[in-house]
Amino acid sequence: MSDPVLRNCRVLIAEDEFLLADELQADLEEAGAIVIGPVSALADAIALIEVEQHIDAAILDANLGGEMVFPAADLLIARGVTIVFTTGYDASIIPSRFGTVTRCEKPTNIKSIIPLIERSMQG
Amino acid sequence: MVGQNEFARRQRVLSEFGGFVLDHDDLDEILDEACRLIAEALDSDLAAILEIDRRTNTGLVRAGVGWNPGIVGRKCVSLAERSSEAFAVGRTEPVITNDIAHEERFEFSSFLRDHGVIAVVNVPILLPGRDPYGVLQVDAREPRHFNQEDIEFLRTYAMVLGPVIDRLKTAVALRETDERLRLVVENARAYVLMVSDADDRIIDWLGGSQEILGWSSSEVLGKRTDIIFTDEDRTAGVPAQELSGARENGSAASRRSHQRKDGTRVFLDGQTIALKDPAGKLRGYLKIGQDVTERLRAETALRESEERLRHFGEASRDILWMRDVETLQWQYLTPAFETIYGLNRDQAVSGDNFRNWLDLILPEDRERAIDASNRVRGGEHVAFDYRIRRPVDGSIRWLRDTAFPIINADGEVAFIAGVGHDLTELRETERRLQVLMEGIPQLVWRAVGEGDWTWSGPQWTEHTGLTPEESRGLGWLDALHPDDRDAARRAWKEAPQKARLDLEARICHAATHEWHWFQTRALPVRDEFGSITEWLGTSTDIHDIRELQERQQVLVAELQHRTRNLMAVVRSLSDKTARASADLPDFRTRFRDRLEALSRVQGLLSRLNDHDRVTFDELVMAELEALDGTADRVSLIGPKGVRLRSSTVQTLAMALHELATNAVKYGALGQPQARLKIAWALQPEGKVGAPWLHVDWRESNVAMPAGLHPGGGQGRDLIERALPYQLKAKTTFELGPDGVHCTVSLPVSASSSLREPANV
Repeated sequence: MSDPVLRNCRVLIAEDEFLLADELQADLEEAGAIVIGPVSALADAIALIEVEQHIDAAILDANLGGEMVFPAADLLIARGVTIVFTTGYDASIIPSRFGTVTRCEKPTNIKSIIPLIERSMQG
Repeated sequence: MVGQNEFARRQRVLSEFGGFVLDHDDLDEILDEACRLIAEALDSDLAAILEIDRRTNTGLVRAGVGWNPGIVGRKCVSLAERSSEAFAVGRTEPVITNDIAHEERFEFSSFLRDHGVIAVVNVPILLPGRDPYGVLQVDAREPRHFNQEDIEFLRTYAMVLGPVIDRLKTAVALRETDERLRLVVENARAYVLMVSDADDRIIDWLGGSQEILGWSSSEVLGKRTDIIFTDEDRTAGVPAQELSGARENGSAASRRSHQRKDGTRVFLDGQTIALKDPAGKLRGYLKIGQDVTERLRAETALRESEERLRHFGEASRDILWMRDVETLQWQYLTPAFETIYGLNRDQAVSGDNFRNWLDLILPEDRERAIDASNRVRGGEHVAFDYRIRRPVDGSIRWLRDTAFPIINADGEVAFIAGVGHDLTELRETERRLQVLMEGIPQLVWRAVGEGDWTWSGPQWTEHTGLTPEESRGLGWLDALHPDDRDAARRAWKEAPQKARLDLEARICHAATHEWHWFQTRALPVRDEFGSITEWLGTSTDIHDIRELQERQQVLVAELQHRTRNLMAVVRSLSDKTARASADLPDFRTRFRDRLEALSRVQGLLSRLNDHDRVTFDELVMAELEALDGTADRVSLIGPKGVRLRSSTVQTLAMALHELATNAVKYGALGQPQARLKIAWALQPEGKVGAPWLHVDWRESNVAMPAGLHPGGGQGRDLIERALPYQLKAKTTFELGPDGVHCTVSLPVSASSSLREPANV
């Protein structure tokens, strides 16, 4: 990652698997982003959303330790935050109200997530 | 005395009569003329000729002159003993009564008195051989004395009459015979009538000879009679044999094919008769033959037809039978009877076989059989089912008789007949199907139209509590969930078009008041024209299947989630391992080692069912067993059966693995003098929430390497960062002077309990 395309972009990570969260954090920071979190549970995510004034984007694992991440997603969308779901499930698990939300299947490819966030920042 | 003139007059009368006779051959005309002339000759105005009928012993007034109408040709006179006419015939002499008022010998017919007759003379008329023909009678209306000359003249006259009458009678008889013969011969069109002379030359070709054989009379006259024989018969000498047979025996039968003029065959049935004169001399032959070709053909056809019918009856697996309408005894019974009834036909038809037959029928079906028989006797067509018990083995057979009356030419029922079919197999199949229909777990029903139920099986009633009567028509809808009834009606509307009914709807379970999902299916039954006559349907309880399917969907999704997460973890591990490896062989060793640890924990997890949990001791044992020959340096102290949350197992296992791996490489498990103690304890569920597990990993006597402990890297990272992050664990990691000391406290499964409190 030579070009920090996400410079100063504040990205929330909610991912219950430490290794994946750690990896994602490293990749985003390498791309210049400021990572909020990561958090491994829904309650932590919601708490963080409530205290963080400034969130540009969020990468949310659909299933956080057995809890669905959708309440947090609703809060973020209400604030106009760009979100990306990462999930091992197929599309049917995502409620239809998130029809326009990008869904990345695990194992996720960071190279496909970064441009999504970059585009939303410009737009 | 008769004078010369008188004599001449009488001579003239005789001569006139002779002339008349020569010119006439009608007996009645001649007899009338005879009466007229004799009356004239004897100066009387009444004369008659009576013809004797010996059978009735009467005399018919055959001819006469002077009589009132109604006498001649009609009047019959009794020739009783006391009649003058009988007397004359008996005496063969003239009998005279000069005044019947004074006659005491005879009684006279009333018609004589009616005509005022007073004197009568009767002269017998004798045919040749003195055979009496009748009486010539001359009557007078005034007393009259017939003298001897009158009598002589009358006798002469009668003697002339006799031969004349005889000749005419014979001629008439001959003529009539000839006429009859001619008519017979000419009308015998169905017969060949061929007369040949003693030399076998055809001289008469009569009757139907020409029509039957084709030759005209002129073509065959003079030819030998063998022309009508077939070539084979001629070669074999049959014609000559027939003739010699006729000569010797008077006649010879001839029943054989003959040959027509055109060469075709005709079968003649008849005989050849030798014609001989009274002296026995052969005069010729008569061959009579009836054309029976058609009759033979018809007979053959009839015989063949009967034969075919017999074959039909004998080959039929159904019983064909016929009974007399009055006695009800069998007139006809085919062999299938023996197969079906297991009874010899001779036995079956002996005695009162209707009674005996009824005895074979089960008592409860007998009345029906009798009733059906009576209805057929009354002219009805009747089909009826009944059971028989076979005497031979006691088995029961179901039969169906389709019976009908056979009407004679007078329009009366002459026989009753029928076809008996063995229904046993069919009934058995029906019964099995019935058992099947009532035994299968599906709710079974039948319907017509658009869901009009006509029948429902016991399963339906048992499940829904609705009786078949209540379910009839659209009654079954009551058992459906209200929200599903419209869908059911729609499905029925579309069913005829789709030729099937397919519906999932909830049906109420009467016993539990629960709604169960049922899959309802029906297929149409069609008649031979393809029209739907009814529907056969089943409703299958798919409640459990539906639940199972839903559960399965969840499980599949969960599996997918876990698998993909695992893939991501593996990828992350490989990245991390690659960063920490010196070279590719080093990477391979490390990476394989970690993958094996991961797969061990997957193995533990995959063995679980819903309610099981991996216990901490299992996890530790699995990890240590993967390291060979170190058990003597490790002491494990802690309770068995501490149940871990499934979501924590993988990460915890990886952390333990990193600790163990480092211990092998650099610490307690790699040095003979070193020791490892793993102790753990369960802190029960408290006010704050879930129970906690406290684990203490303590190495001792380890000769620590100089400088930075190389094993700190990944293991330490996992303990210090991953466990708190992912498991909400509290951890410490410390490199002591004689080994690693590490503590991990983490919440465990709320249902965690100790199976036994003993140390391992």
